[in-house]
Amino acid sequence: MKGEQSFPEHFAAAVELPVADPVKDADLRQAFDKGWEVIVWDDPINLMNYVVYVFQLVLHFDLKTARKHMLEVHHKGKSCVARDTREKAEHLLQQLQQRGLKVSVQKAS
Amino acid sequence: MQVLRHQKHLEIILFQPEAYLLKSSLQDIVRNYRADVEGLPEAVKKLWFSDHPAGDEEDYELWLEHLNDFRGGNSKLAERLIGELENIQNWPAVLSVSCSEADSLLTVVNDQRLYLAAVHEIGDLEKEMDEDWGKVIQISHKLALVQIQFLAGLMELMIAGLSGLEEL
Repeated sequence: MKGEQSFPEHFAAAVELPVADPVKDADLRQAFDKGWEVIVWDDPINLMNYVVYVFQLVLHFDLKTARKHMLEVHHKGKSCVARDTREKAEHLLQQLQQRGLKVSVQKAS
Repeated sequence: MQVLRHQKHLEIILFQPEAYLLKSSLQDIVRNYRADVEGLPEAVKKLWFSDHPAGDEEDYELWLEHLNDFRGGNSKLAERLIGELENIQNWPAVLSVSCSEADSLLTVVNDQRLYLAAVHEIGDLEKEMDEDWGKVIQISHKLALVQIQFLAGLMELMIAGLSGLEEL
């Protein structure tokens, strides 16, 4: 590459290069792994319009998407409403759960 | 009962029996929010606290703390509305709530519906209201059904009032 300077060999040898740590690498991979699903489950008490309202408020769905997921919950018993890192998925779970929805987080299969 | 939208506020208009029911529901939920977790009925404990995302005890404590903060904020709003409902001079009563307060009020009202359903083991609300009404003997069970339906009506009107606002 133009203008690039190569380091003398003795200099490179003096620099301590980081050693790969398999445990930390695995933690990092998991932290950025967007394979965690937020599942909303059907229940007989929450109102359909309330579920739509909460989806719009917490998940920022438009009305059409919110209704689609609400109907999926109602007819199929559950709906995957988000897929993200574990931390973000758990944050969404908290937001949905504190508004009374039945929610779980699971690793995508 | 009526809910009107005025820019960033909702006006909840209530006649005396409705105001009484709402006040009573809000008083119940404030009491339940304040109750020690261990003192709550098992079904409510399971509903309100057990499906937490936390893995260990420390996380669970943080989760409880967060929930208590969230419900504490909602309790303050409920207490304010109870105070207003106790001092109504002219009927129908008009309660004014901002949009963010309306979101809290929806959560409070919904929590009370879930609480009643859990305590009275109400699984299929529509079936109980339509088919089983005559078979329900316990007055407390009937009262719970009426309260759940009344609060559902309030929630539907509030959601209709809120829809279309920027916050949504």
